Parts: sequence; C-alpha cells; structure tokens
Amino acid sequence: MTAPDPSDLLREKIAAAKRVQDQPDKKKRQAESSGAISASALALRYGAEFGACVFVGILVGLGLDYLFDSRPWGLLIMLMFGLAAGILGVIRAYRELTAATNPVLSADKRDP
Amino acid sequence: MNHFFRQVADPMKQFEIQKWFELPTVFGYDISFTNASGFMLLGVAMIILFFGYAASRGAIIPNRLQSLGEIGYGFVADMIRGTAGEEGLRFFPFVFTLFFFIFFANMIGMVPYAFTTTSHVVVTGALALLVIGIVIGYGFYKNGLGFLRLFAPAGAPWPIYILLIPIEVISFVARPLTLALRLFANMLAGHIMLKLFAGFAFTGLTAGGIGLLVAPLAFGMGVALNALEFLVAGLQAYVFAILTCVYLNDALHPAH
Repeated sequence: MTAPDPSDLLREKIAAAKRVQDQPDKKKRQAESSGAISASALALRYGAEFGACVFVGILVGLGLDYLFDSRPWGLLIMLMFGLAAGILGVIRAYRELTAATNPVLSADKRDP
Repeated sequence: MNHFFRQVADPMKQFEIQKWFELPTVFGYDISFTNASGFMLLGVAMIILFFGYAASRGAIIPNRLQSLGEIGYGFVADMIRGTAGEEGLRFFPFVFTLFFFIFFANMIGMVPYAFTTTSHVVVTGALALLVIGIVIGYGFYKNGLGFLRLFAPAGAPWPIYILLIPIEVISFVARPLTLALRLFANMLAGHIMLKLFAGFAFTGLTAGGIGLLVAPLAFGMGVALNALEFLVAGLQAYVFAILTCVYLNDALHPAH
C-alpha cells in the first residue's frame, strides 16, 4: 500500500472544513451573536450619526449667519436641515445594520 | 504614598501625551517625538513584521502565522467586495492598511501601561479626513462633476430637491465627523471604564470595611469589561474599515 498524497489529504480537509462552514445553523448562530454583542456600540453608532448631523447643521447655520448677517434665520433653518439629515442618517444606519443580518431586508438593500 | 493613590485613581492620566524626546519646531509646530508617535510607530513595525513573516514562506500548507495573514487578507478583500464590488478592490491597499493600523493600535492599547493612540481625536480625525479626502478626490477624478449627483438622488420631483440637497450635503459633511468620533469615543470610554473599575477594586481593598465587599464585584466587572474591550477593539477597526468601503462605493458609483 502506498502512502497517500499529502495534497490529496489537504484537499479532503478543505472540503470537510467547507462543509462545516456552510452549515446553515452555524451561519445563523454567527449572525445572532454578532447582532447581540453590541447594544452599546449600536447606541453610539446611532447617537454619533444623529449628533454629528445636527452639529454640522448648526455650524453651517452659524456660518451663513456670519457671512450674510442674517441672525437667527440661518441657524434656525440649517438646524432643521441638520435634524432631518440626522434622522435620515439613523434610518440609513439602521438599514445597513439590519440588511447584514436580516435576509428579508437585505433583499431591498439597494433602495435609497 | 497619598500621591501614588491619587495617580492610580485618576482615569484620565493614561491619555496624557508625554514627550519622549524634543525636536525643534517646524513652522511654529511642535513636532517632538511623543508617546503617541512612539506607539503608532510600534504598531506599524508590528504590522510589517507580522505580514512580512506571514508572507515570507508562501507554503501550500500554511503554518499558523501564515494562515492568520491569509485570513486577514481574505477578510479585508471580502469586506471590500461585499460593499464596493470588484471595482472597489483598487482601494484594497488603502483599506487593508487602514484596518490593520487601527486594529493594531487598539490591540496595543489593551496591553497594560501601553498608550492607546486611537483614543485621541487627532489621530482618528486625521484618518477620517484622509478617507473623505480620497472619496472626494477620487469621486471628482472618476466622475467629474457627475460626482455631485451624490447629493441629488434621481427620481424625485423638483421641489423636493430644495429640501433634499441641503440634507444630503449635511449628511455628507457629517461623515468624517461620525467616523472619527465613533472610534475615538469608543476607545476613550472603554479605557476610562477599565481604569475606573480597576481603581475601585484597588481602593476598595485598601479601604477595608464595606470596601472589601465592593472590591470583588468591581474586579469581576473589570474582567468582564476587559473581554468587552477586546471585542470593541476589533469591532471598531472593522466598522471604520467597512464605512470607508461604503463611502468609497459612493465615489465609484455616485448615482445610486
């Protein structure tokens, strides 16, 4: 009996590893654990998204007021836009996150 | 002795920048070599050593380090393919470097007495500005003025654009801010928490009385937080890199 070819052995091992990797319940478990890990990371993600947009809105508003001497209208209007952008950002972040773990939502991932 | 305790309890002490050696100022800027520079350099050196070794053999049956390197390569490549498509792979060197720079910086920060460079907004802000600079530069280079379509999604009736364009511009400008803020805030908050709970355990033990009851609880929390921080270190590097890919995708395909 001849010794088995090492590259054949390797191929078998790779095939076996692939079978384990592709098991649906393992993938599901991975998705679940990555979804559950990070409630605080999630909160920070949404918070940063919203806060930064409002902050930029305020900055742009103050800048416009400074340029055109139009206090307080620039700040008021741009703050509104900042809030709107913040909400949009949170919705987008939510979609990105759920699309990764949720097969139903990932189908319409390409929508705006 | 009292001074020593105060130092142990101060959770902000770990973020102080210390000059390791002085250098002359250039155009009025102090460019002295600090602990931040030192630890960034250490991270880069470790990356070069690690991948240099992992790539040196190129064996068909990889040893552990080589297969770690291959996993790292595959991980980043899959991440780019998944978010920016095959075209995005031209940014592979950039995203790969970014990911591993942040990952190593975060992981070095987990070593006691080490300095966490990513807990400084200067570092994360510079990285975020680099990303957004590349997005804007490449977006205009590839699409010309068509890049501006990013701010005006197609298919809306025209009065809506009066509202939509400022909103899109604001959310674009907010991107580097969120990118920098998230990494910085996560690392800062995590390291403060670690230090606080470790400090509680220590002062509880030395205070005696009810402190002896608090100390084990605080120590347990510290252990749990340590595990969480390792997770955050990896996760935040991943989040930074994947958002970079998402933004690069906008530069590649502005009209989505």
